[in-house]
Amino acid sequence: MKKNIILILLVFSSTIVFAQQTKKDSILKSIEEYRAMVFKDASTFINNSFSIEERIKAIQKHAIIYDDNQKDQFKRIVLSERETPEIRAMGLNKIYSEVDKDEKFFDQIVLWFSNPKTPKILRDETLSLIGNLSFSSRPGILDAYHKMVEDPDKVYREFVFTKLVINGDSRAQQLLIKGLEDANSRLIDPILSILILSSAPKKDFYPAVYKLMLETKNDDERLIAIETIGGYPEAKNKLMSIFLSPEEKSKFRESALIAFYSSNKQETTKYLSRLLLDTSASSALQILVIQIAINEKKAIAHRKKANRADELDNLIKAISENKGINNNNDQVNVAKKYLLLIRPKF
Amino acid sequence: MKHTFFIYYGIFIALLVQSCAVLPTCTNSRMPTVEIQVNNTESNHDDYVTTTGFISCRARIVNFNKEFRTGLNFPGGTDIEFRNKRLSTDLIISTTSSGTSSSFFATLPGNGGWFNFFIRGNSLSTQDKSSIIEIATAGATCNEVVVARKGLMVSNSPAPIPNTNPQVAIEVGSISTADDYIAWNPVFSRIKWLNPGSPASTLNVTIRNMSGFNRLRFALGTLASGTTATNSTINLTLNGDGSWVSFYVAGNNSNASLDDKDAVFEVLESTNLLARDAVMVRIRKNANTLTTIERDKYLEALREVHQTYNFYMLFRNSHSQNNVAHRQAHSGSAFLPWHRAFMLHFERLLQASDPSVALPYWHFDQPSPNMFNANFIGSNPTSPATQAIINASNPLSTWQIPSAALGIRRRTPYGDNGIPSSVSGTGTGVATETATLALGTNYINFIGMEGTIHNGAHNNSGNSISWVAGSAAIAPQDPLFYFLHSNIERLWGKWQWVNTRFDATQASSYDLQGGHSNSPSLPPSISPNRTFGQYVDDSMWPWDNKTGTSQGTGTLERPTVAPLTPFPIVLGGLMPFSMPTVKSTIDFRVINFGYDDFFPY
Repeated sequence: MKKNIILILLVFSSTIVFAQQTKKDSILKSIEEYRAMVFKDASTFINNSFSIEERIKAIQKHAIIYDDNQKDQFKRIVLSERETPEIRAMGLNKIYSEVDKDEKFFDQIVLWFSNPKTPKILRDETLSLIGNLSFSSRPGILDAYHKMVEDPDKVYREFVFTKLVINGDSRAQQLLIKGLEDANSRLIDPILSILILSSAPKKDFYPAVYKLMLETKNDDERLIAIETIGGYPEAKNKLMSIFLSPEEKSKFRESALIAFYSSNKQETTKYLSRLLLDTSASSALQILVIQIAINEKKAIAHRKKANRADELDNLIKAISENKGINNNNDQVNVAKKYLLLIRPKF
Repeated sequence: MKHTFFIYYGIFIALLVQSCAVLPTCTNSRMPTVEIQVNNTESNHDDYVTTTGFISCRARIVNFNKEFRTGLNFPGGTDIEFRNKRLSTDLIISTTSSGTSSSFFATLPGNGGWFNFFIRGNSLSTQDKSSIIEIATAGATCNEVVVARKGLMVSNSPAPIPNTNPQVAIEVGSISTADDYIAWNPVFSRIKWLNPGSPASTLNVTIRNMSGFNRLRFALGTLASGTTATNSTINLTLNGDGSWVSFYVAGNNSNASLDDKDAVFEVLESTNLLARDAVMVRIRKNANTLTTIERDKYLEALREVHQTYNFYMLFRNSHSQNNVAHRQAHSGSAFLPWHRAFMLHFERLLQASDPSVALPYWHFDQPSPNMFNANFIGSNPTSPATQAIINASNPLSTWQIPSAALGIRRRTPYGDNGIPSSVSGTGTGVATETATLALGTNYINFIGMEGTIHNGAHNNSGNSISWVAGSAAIAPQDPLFYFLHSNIERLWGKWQWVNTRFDATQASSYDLQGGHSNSPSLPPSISPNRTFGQYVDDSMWPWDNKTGTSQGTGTLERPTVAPLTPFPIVLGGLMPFSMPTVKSTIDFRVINFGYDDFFPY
């Protein structure tokens, strides 16, 4: 009996090991087959006796090529002026990793990238490549970017401003700020400018964005400005007046509330009850109010001190019981969650 | 003899972990190891409660003594909160036998004395062990770390285990329930007979999954390195002298838990049920396949880490505080080990908030519409809007990063139901999993995935003003960052499994063997592989707290600060130590995490 049990266990264990090995072998086999397929398709791409369409179709579906010899041949194709821009761009797309290993090759890529006269398909490939490299090995090729701030192609202007501003480039930042202040000197539109500036380590764009927020008649511009201005002390009262105002559209009130909250966490809690009692407040705004209440009152430091339910707790309890203003299911559910997470003592 | 070895081994590990464990959210603070007893017994045969009557329970700090009894670890006791697990009201938990509260604050005695409390059922359990008493730290600082979760059952039917049956005590990992979260790797466990008739008597028992559950596997004896528990049933003989008998428990391949304590196993003497115990097979899963409960638990833990306790920014700043920090983590051989430690640190912080949460991954070469929606990571906005659309009811709806814009700045070129295709250019966007695994069988080839697969995933994840695609400095502002990197982690883990690359002493597993030689002068365009922290024996910034430019005789090229020190050691997860080396990250199977799509044995 004991022997049988041991035998069964051994069979069971070896079945698992076998199944695992089979799965692993199957993956290894599919990898080998895939590499062989890429090799074959890369060979087709390299062979210029095929048509351009055939060559592109062969390699397009693959993200990378693996064979070192083929990588060299791809590089030669990319650098060859006898090849069409389509072929060169496609070749480049498969050998991104080679660019980092060869400074001359990289310099050539930067030249194509920064020259608006480069055939568009090839230039767009360099944009993708430099975007990729900017994530690790080449965080900024700032000299090239500087020369491109007036590039005729908006996509490239957007790209280089983004990279320059993220890298803390004050000159690029000032150009964007100037554009916000003076429409005649705009290199990119205000919304995009604000979006790019919002990632700047230095916040000297706040006054210009605030001014635009106050003056613009364009809803999209105003919304982006509100979303960005939370850290500007001078905007604090204005943001407060927006999220408290029944006259404002809900999307502005919601964004102004979160923007205010981002820099005034504790102070925001003072206005939460008022917003829950506000009959003009949208359901979404009131749900955000409860979410902020959860964020802040969830902390042990708060809950330990809270010996009895306060006004906000009672208002949210009423909502959870479907007795609030403008109740809907989402509101009721978030209110119930508040009670479970905060556990006020009623 | 073999059993004796395991007993000593288990005690050694338990003592080591208990003495070293630190609070993930509070550096250099020791974590209390807490034992909970329902019905005031060591056995869990009586872990059943009705909705009508209170039962007595107690809890205590186990690691109250300092090493070598040189004083108390928690003089004056530890402030804690007793409560139901998050968003549950299954239990009434009270300091009296007449209370109505679902939670209360208290202080556990610093000398290891018991703290008594009472529970009764508030609503019936969905299954055995699904109702949970949770204990979290509640001091002035270092608070809200869950240190214990004890599963029991609320039922008004007769309890399934008679008091007259032999009684046993079971420990998975240690006496604490904080380490009852297992993956595919074997976890040392033990069992003993509590009420033997005489020291000479023996009790033959069987351990197996509870009927209807098949989440666990068991093993006896010595497990060879690189193997795990694979038996669905084991038989043991317990001794009348009350000594522990060891066994291993591991998750059953392809049957990970869906919720906490849903991996229930039972101990039988012949057909008599003696005990049931529950753990969780906690595995990192494809975000697109998470249940609503799993998704919401992750979002609530993330809310707590970022919005309530403000730890999230430490991770953003550590990822790429400036180009110096950038070099520790990117463009070199240590890219994968560094991010493995980084992701694990983040995951352990989430687990301090909710131990049943694991990092989901974004299988970025497959459509993930369940992930890219307004109830999860955010839906794609319509131009000119640039913020991911998040429903107000989603905890991410109040997401904001100090000094950055509010919301999550992300516009995906692939909508909500696609995969990251090239933002510009002619390419296919991200590489498939097969194309990634095909990079080569040696690490030096596979590490090329940073420049191709990783960079491609970031760059194609959003347009140029999207945080996740912007730069290494701002990408972690978007929580999508962690889903993306969890997949990078998974791909490395899968590559390791397929090619058997777990041995850190082999160049095929990690190319830079040995330690860094501290080059005395380095050019401005230094290759990252010449910086300290890239070699297999090197410790890694920021966890090693080695900062600045000068260290010993050479140059470290480190940032001046180290925001994430030390690395959090938790019960059940000793590796990769408080000061991770590259080497300690290589064999992830001993770090107690796994993935849902491959079984690394």
